[in-house]
Amino acid sequence: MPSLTRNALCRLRTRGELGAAAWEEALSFASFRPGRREWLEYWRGLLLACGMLLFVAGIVFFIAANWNGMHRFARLGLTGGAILAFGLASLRLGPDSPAGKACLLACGLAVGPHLAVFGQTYQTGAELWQLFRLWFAVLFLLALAGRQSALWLAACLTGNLWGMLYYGDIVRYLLLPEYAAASLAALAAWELAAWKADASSWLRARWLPRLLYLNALAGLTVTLCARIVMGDRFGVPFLFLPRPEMWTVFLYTTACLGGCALYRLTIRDLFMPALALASLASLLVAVLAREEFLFDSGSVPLISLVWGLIIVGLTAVLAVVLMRLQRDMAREAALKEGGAAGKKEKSSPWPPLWAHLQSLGLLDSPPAFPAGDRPESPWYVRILLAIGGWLAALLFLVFLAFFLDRTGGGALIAGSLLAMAAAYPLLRAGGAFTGNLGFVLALAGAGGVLAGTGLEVRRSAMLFFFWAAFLAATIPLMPSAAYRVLASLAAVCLVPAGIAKSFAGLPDWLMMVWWLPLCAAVALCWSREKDWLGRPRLAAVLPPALHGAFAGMEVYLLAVLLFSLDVPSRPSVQFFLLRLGIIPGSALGLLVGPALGLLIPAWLAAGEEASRAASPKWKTFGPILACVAVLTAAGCFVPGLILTLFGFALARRLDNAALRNASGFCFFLFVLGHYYSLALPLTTKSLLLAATGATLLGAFRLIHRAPFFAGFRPHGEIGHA
Amino acid sequence: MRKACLLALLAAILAGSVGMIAHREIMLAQGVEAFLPLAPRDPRALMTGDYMALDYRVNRDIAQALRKDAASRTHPRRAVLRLVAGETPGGEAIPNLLVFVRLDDGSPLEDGELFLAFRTREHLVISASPAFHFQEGRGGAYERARYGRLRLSPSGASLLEALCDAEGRDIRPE
Repeated sequence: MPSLTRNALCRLRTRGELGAAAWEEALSFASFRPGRREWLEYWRGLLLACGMLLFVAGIVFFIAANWNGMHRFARLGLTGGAILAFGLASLRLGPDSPAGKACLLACGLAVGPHLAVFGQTYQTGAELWQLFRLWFAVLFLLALAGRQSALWLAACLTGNLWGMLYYGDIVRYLLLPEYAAASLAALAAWELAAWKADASSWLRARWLPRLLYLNALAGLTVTLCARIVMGDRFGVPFLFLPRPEMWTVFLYTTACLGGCALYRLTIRDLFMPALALASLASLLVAVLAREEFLFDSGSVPLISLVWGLIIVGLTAVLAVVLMRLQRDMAREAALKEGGAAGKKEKSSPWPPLWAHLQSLGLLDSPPAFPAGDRPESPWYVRILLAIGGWLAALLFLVFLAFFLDRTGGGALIAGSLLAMAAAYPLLRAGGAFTGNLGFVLALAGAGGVLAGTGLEVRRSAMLFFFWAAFLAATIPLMPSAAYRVLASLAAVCLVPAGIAKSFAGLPDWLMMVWWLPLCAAVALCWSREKDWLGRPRLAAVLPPALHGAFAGMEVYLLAVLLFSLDVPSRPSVQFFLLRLGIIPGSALGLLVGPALGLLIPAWLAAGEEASRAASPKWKTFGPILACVAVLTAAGCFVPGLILTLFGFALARRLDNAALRNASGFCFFLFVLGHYYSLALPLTTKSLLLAATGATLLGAFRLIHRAPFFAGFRPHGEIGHA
Repeated sequence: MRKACLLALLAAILAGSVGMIAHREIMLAQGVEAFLPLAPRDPRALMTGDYMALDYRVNRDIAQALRKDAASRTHPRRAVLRLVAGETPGGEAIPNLLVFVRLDDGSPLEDGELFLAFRTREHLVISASPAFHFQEGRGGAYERARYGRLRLSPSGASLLEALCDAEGRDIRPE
């Protein structure tokens, strides 16, 4: 049974298992449809996070701006104080709590900058590797006492840096067999400790052993492949591997297969066999390349076609073997945990939801999740197959390109359309390998059509509109979410570029004719999700297209701000350009559009809320109008602000953490970029940044405590911190 | 118990840090002040980022002595230098100029002699700090550096305090 997520509920709606009313009620029941309280908590959380981030950034920049004027004891005191503060915080919070672990990790990491400041202050001629040696020793001791994987990872990284700096050559160090042997020894020690530990022990986490295994195998694979292909010309010293490559390859193959068996039968981690098999496949490719398989034929299309087929074949074999392993391991794990299955069923969040919907008369019987669905492959298997898909696609494109007439755009367009036609069935089939193969062909085909039309129709502003229309037309045709996002992003950026090129003499504010309806369309589409989600075709096309449209707005605004604001030459003029009325036209459109986009769903949601609650309408609509007005005014000074707020709102409504984090990253960039571009000393800019962060924290506190917002808090919660 | 271990470890880290700082401060306060003539370096490698690479004439003397001493298998790690009075191009005296005497062979130091610790790295001799860190953008002022002003401990450990011009004056960029 899948996890209860917003996407899972949407899939049920699309399949017709849930009606529109049942779907909406399910979203509310599972807290995926935020009400007033959820919105308030969400914005409070963002105010706290963004305020802390900006405040800390301001302090850091203030210290950096005044670093050289500080006495050496002040600098050393600052860095040493960080070690002390994090260490004490970890002890106070408890070294096993998440916050305590983070503080202990920060304590260990803070030792590095402290040593660096020490080395710069007292110039004894100590070498850099000596600094990392001492840092490694501290982290090793902290990892022993701290009992957390992150500290062990930090110790590994600093230990590696120590070795690299001492050895002097990073690549040669990483390719040393002794390095691989040390990684494997560390892996063996870890697995042994984990095997003896409890099932719930922190040692049972798989990410660090996987990293150590990847470390060892990556180096050995590259070394062996290079040795096979280059022979005696490969210069990395082998200290104990003998010269004959085939004997070495046989030994390595046996070891890999042994490792596969070990992890298949005992620890049951598919990652390890997957990596080992991928390594062996790479060696096979190296052996074929060494034997100059077909290369001596001199025929480029034949070589690229056959090698593409070889990659397809190898990836297919890898996929079959890994899927088989995954199925067998999952079946064995299910048999082993048979007693626990009933408990898992009882603790599943789905039954309470079904019971709630049935009690409201919105559901007759709980929908059955399809039993025949192929279980989703782990991310590392998908990545391996995707790499195979990309390699094969590139080789096939070389084969195709060989037959195109290089002098004209017409043949390029024809070949590209052929590639897109070939991509369609691959994308429909789905899967990690065929899906990525089809994706590359679709991307290459779309790019080829754009390039071909560009060659045929030179220097025409209408070209931008044609490109945008072509990409928009392919969105419903290409059954790939990734392609739809990229095509939508590109189309959204091409239209204003075409407007700018076509109507060069007209005012920039005309760009609003594009951004206003676009933002309104995006907002309205998401507001009416319940209407189109029940139609499978729309449900497949609209979400990635809408995400791509939003991403296009962010990309375009970044481009406008980067290219239109001439920071170095006339910073004072640039500062005034940001004032209301003189803001760059494109940025103005992107300011008002998202403001409208924020207003529409907020208005609709508030309307629904007001009709349900008995409170006066001004109490519901008033704060929303006031907030949007204040933010729009503030956005004149920080154009990226209103757009990222639009992103935050969309992220909460869609319960999309990736969109929230991406919007947060863009917000941070915009604010930093704005303050950086001011014509003020660095010290003043950093204080302004810290003041902005403090203002946001003050707003957070206000929402917490102010009586005006009491009506928005759930009953009984009055000013809790 | 575990918290006690972590607290002890934290105390050890801070105590170690304070100890290292105190040791260096004692060297600055009580170490013998001496001038070590700089050797010419390739100017393209002179200033990289926010530090400049340094070499000292005494390093070459040590390297030569090591080559002569290669058969003895003693692997000395200190050189013996003498403090002499030098003269600037302007005729002023530089009282504490260091010149190479011999490699440390275990014999006691004579008056005016000091140890200078060194190490070898890929056949190069590194004695005092091979790099001088400065604030980014201020490197041009150090082009006229001719001496490094050091503080030496009795064991031969050195600490580079400043770079000096041909007159023996500290170079301080504005």
